Amino acid sequence: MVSRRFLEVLTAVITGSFGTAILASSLAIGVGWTRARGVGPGTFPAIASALIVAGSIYNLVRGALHAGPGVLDAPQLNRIAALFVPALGFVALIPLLGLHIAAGAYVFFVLWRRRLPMWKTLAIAVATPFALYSIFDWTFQVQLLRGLLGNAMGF
Amino acid sequence: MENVHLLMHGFGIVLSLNHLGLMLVGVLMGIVVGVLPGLGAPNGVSLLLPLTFGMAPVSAIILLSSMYWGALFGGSVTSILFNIPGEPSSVATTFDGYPMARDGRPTTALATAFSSAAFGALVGVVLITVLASWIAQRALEFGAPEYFAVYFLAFASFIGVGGAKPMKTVVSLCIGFAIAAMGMDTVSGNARLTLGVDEFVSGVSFVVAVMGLFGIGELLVASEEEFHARGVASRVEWREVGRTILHMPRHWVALLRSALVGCWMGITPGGPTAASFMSYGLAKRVSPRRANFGKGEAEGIVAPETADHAAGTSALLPMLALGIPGSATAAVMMGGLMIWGLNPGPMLFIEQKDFVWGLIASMYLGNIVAVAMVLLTVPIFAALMRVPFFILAPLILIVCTVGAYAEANRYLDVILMMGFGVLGYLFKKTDYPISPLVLAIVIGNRAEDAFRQSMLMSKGGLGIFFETPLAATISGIGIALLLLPVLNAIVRRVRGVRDATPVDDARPIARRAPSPRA
Repeated sequence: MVSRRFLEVLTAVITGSFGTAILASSLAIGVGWTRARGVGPGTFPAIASALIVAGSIYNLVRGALHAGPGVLDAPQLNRIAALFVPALGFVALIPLLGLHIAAGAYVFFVLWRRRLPMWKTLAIAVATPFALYSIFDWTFQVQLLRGLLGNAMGF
Repeated sequence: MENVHLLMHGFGIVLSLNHLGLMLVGVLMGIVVGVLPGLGAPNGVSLLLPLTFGMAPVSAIILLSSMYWGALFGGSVTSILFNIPGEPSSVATTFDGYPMARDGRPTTALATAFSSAAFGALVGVVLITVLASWIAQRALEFGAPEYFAVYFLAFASFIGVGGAKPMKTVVSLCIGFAIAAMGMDTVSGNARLTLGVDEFVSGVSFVVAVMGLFGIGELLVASEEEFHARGVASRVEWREVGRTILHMPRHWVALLRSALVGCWMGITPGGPTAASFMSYGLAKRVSPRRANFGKGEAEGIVAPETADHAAGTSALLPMLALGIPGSATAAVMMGGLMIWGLNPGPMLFIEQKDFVWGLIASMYLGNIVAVAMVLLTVPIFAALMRVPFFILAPLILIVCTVGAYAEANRYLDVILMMGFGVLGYLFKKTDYPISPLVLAIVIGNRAEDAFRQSMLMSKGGLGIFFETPLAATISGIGIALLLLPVLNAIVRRVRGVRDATPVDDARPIARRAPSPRA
């Protein structure tokens, strides 16, 4: 079970951490107006990130105190994980297998787990890399990542 | 009138086989991304961007804008037939569109939606035709302080009237600014804010953010509910289409009111989603037929659809004339303009007449093509919705990955996209608006440049934004808009309604797949 409060707090923590990181590095590169160089390069991002930090603290407190209704139950979490975890695997495999093959493997895995008939699973999984290649690499000359495998095979 | 002459010149450019073909392809692809969950107009246009680098700018913008129209129409199809909005901006169309379709009048619902959409778009384009070059001419006299004031006004209106919680909008907007600032500092040429990652020297692309925030985020939200598209019959009866169109003038009050709301929300960057909710909410309060709203009332379709398309179209007006996009998709297109080497803003109207008027003329034709195509292809695209989501989802995810990667051929972008995806999901679940973030990434550097130039002019004094009457007026309106939520809160407190929910009708809600009623 995940509550709305948890999501609110998590979001505020993420935005706040990003804001803090940017704020720190903006302050490091020079803030404010000097006659010599005009507005310091950190000024504008410092204002923006200070607002992020302030807003995040506000949203954090508000989210923690007055979180509205709405929760994620276990089946919903499972369904999100079923989409997201294989997707992470796909992204992790790209440098190794290349985008084409990794995409095919990813599609195969997802459809196989959902017990789609094997011939359909195979057909879609095999068609995916070919479709990617013919649309992007071939038609529009956008070369997709080959990966270690593709490079090793001279593809 | 000079504008009419220029418009005719624009039609001359558009009416070539090549451009009409691009328009058709763009509209069809737009309908596809509009229908598919997880893919919308901003992603669709971002996906096409790398494919346009070899084209003439006018051909490229015709392709991209036609895709935008197609996506706006496609989103309504699924709203009406399946109760699943294909685009966030067509959520409000489900309120009356789906009940009407379920009552056995799907054709009436579709035809009502499309003809009001076409009317809204037409009003938007006419507005652009009449106003764009006039505004651009005024804008030529703008200096840096006026420009910054306009940027400020645009962002203030997001916060003041965007509909989401003001502090959440501020955070979303400022994250966009911070991301835009990462990489090369445009003034000194030095790298800044790279957070220790060398690749960030070249910055973070808005395309990667769009793919993650809109694409992956949307997929994650959609995956929560195992929805089965249980749609109503999707055959189009042409006789009924004709009858519905003939009846449209009866709704003239709603049409005009919604078009006004839409144009306003499109020009001040509220975007189509906020426009459609606001228009629906307004209609629900003032329409003489308000008792029937939610039960399949035609006016409940007219209001959001007209406003949605009027906003989508008129969002291009500030993009062309001032270089400030009025919606997330317009922001992506503007990013494209900059990649093609054009400088969005008033100079376009002088240096790139063919481009500007070709685009405006294509908007008239593109919307007609879109109405015709969407009516003809409803059965085909409705069939797409019957493909189970678990098959569509990995394919859409792969498409987004390719889109993020192809932008700069960089693997890091794919990882970033997944990060943006998680953020997009959290934002949707907790009602943060996403468009301001994307807009800020695209125009953050321009806003910062205007700010720094103004400061150089004034030697560091903020008073410069109030020095000329024009700058002072624009800044003043901006500040007033910023104070609006504060005033609202005070009024509410005074009236004693403690912590009442805000005007829910006007709030862009995260797209949820509503459980289809049997």
